[in-house]
Amino acid sequence: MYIMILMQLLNQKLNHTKKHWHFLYKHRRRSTNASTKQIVVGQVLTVIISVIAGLWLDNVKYSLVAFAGALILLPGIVNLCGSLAGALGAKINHLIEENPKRNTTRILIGSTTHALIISLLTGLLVGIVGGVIGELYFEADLFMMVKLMLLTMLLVGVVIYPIVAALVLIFRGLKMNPDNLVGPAQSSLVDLLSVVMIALAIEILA
Amino acid sequence: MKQSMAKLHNHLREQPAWFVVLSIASVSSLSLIGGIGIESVSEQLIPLMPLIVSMPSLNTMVSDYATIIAAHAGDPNERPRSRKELARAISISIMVNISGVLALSTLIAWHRGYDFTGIFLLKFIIFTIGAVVGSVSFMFFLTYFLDKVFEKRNLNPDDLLIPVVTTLSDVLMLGAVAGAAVWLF
Repeated sequence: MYIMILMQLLNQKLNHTKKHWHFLYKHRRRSTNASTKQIVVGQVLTVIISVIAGLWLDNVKYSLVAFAGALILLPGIVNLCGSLAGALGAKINHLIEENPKRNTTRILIGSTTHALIISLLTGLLVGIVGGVIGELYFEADLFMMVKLMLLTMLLVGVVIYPIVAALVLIFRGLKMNPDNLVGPAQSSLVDLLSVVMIALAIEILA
Repeated sequence: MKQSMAKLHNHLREQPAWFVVLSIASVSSLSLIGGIGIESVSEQLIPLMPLIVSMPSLNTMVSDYATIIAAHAGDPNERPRSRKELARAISISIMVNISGVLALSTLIAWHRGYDFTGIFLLKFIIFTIGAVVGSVSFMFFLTYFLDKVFEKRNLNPDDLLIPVVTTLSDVLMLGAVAGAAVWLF
């Protein structure tokens, strides 16, 4: 009798362990597949938008080369706008999450204005660093480079920050996590907008 | 969990504005190194239309992978288990990416009248595959190395790893494009 009970218990335990490992195996397979799928989908989107940015870069390459120092600033603009737009998306999402009773419009306007001010201040510093390098090694004009940096940061910011804010609201409305989705979307959009806006800024300054 | 997140956000908000501006500007100023490379070789780079078309996507792609690798390395529970899974996931994605970039940039350049030669196409394919695979592999080893260093010195990799590797990936990729424009094509 005792042996029978013991055998039953052992059998139950074994079944439970088997189920556990089966569940774990399936879960791990699913999570790996999901991450592969997510990475591939995000990257396909990035490649398409970034190649369009490349096409635009090819269109405006002569004006970029003609403006001494513009190519030095381009990676700085992409880097700055990318990090600030990413931070803005996360900030808006977390502020809405933490303060559900607070007016969403106020959060959006406050965060976007804050991001725009920070982007102009950081743009000024990066513009000065780039301008000094340009003036010393590439016969560029320091003040023109600072002006180009500030104008481009303003133009990119005015377009990309409201887009990021809208994307956060759209993803939240669709019950998706904006922290996972805004990043890939904004990084490729920043690429495209930076190239378009730096060319526009060169035309305005010329 | 929610409380600790709220604490973290409060802490982040308490950072003075000058600190935020200065730290963001310093990291972004480092990426100007890649810009110096591109500006220095602009004369050689301009005629290479497929390389110019593919440049933003190569840069963004490597930067994205650097962020993904660093984000996974930064999670202490995931480190030993997920490294192989991450490498497998990324390798599949890289193949899709490289094929996409090569196909789209070649097609666009050809459509815009770029005169392709067999040897140029071969060099372009070798460069794209080599630059992406080389940069991502380097990012893997760098992240692994930095993760160990930060762990030994009791520093939180979450705070430092992503800004360091994304900035380095920018410099690395733009440096590779500038180097290829001078020595390969």
